[in-house]
Amino acid sequence: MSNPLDVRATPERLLMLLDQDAISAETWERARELAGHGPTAKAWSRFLDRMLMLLGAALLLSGIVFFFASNWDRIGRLAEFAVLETALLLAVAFVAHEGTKVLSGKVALMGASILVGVLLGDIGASYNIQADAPEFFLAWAALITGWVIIGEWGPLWLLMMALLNLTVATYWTDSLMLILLIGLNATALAMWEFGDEWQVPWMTARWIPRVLAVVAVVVSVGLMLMFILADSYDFEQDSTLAWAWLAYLALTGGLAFGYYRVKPDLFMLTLCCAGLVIVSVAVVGKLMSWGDLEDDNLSTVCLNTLILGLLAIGETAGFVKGLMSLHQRWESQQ
Amino acid sequence: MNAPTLGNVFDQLVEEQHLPESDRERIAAALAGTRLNAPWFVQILSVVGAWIAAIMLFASSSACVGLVLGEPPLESLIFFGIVLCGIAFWIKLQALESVFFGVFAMVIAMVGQMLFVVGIGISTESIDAALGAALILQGVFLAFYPGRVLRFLSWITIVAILVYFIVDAEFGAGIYLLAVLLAAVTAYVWLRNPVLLGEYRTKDAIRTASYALPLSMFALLLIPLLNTEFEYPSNQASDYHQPLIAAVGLLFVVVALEAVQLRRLDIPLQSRETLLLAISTALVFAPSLWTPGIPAAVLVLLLGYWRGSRVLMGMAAAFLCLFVAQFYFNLDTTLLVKSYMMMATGLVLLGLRYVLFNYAQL
Repeated sequence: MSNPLDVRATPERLLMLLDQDAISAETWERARELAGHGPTAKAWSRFLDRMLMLLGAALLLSGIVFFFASNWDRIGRLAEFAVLETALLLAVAFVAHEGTKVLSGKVALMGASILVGVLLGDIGASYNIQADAPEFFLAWAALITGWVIIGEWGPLWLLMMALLNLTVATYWTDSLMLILLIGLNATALAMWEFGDEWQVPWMTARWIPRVLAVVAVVVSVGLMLMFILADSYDFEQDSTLAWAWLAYLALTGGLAFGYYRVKPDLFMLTLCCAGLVIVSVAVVGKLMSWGDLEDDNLSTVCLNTLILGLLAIGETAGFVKGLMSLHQRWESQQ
Repeated sequence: MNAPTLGNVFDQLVEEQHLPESDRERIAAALAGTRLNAPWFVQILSVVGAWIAAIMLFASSSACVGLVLGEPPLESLIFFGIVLCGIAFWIKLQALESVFFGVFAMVIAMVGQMLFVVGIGISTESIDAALGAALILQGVFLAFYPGRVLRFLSWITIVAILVYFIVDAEFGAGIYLLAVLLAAVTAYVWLRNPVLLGEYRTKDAIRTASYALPLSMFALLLIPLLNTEFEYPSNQASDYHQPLIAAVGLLFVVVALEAVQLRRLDIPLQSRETLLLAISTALVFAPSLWTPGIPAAVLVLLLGYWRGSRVLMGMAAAFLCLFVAQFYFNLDTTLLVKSYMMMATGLVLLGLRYVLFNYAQL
């Protein structure tokens, strides 16, 4: 049998040992330091450096956005463009000087990408073009594509995805828009995972695919609920709604298979399970016609809601148990 | 360099005489027989499922009471609620390790709480009485119920009830004072985390409080954005200064935390590093005097980094984004002035970073 101490000294494992009274509070503090989880003076300095940079850049950019959102008319149109373009050029010059390998360069590139949107918005406001039009978001996304590629940074990639999502959400309507959003985010998720698989250095962060998966699953569950609760009139009005179940099942099945078999990830499986609990309760509720709630038939309400409650308990408990045993198994393999 | 294993860490601890050699085997045995705690997202799944089930069973049990008793005496809801809470305690104590009975007991407890509170509310025709009863009930669950998820929800519910009473009393500053109190308790809990977690009696309540309290604090500081009662501008000077009180209170908590860190790292209070840290803190806080959510998020971010909690850091970062957006709505000034303030502060922070790391060699 393998030695149980031959596993990484993660903060969670050390906390678990403290939790079980296996080590004392003082020993835990020292163990954290030895495992590299108790920040040294140097680590604090690096943290302060990053926090000042990110907070400073965020406030500066927000200030610029607010400035142009206030529609200040005391400076002329040309002066507005000049100010924005100068800021944009300064940001790009900073990136050219620092390079895109360091964090400050990446942050400046993010700033430049946002300034492109502000510039487009200002042009739109000056020439009476709608700022929430799909063309606006698409043009913004197209203009920063090159920077997203050379930036090699997850947050920039997410900005691009946000713009593409907004393009789809403002161009299409009804269930077709939701199906396209699911497809878009699922494709981006797959691309990210392939990048991670091919060991692209900047594509190893796990929070980016999780954000994409959350968006895709939330949209797919919403779509599925629309499908379950719809009546014949809704299907006549929105013919694409009939395909909602396929989109939901394809996404959930794909995620469940991919993150169970190919690339184990408990978060993704948990997300699928949460969606399944909600959808299954809605399906069974619909089958039992919970419209009876409106009637005065207390015994039907009593029985139907009891069945739905027990279903939710059974499913939740089953999923939690299964997920915990997977967690135990995968952790012991690390 | 590879990340150290538990074996490497314990070798070093034995060498430094923090741990007797004989304890290694005991720890290895404890580790081998350990059931891992559920990750935070699995716990959220259990809360989502339990809430759906609780709402359904609440409807079912209310209908059943009506069915059996016809026009039910209202006391029966209270009685039924207490009985269900008792059953939940019993199930949980009988089957501590069972996932199914754990979820089942949680749902039963939620339904029991709902029936009890609704029963009190209807029979007394008073929301205050119902929430007062709910407060006591949550206190009982927090103190005695052996389940972390329900204890976590109890903390959140207690804060929510306190907020209701503060809003009901039209004591606007109370929201901010409560936020400062939550910040101070959060900092204390994380500061004393190892000792408190080592105590059997406080272990579960502290573990859940360390995440529930900062989450409640953030939710609390978002209220001014949602509730027009707390919006600015106001004609009353006292209303206008309320967020300022919170920001100053939070500043004290952050400074206290920094002082603890400086002492831990053996950096004297009269040193250059301390002075630079004080200047940085003042500058970070300057733009947020009327948006106390920003210092609150910075505080939680610092705690998360110090204790190596990614969950806490993620929570703080997400709320920090929300609070920067909140700046847009707050403050009795025009959007233009706000934009100047934000740009100026951003430039000062970036300038400070440049000076600190290029000239001061921090």
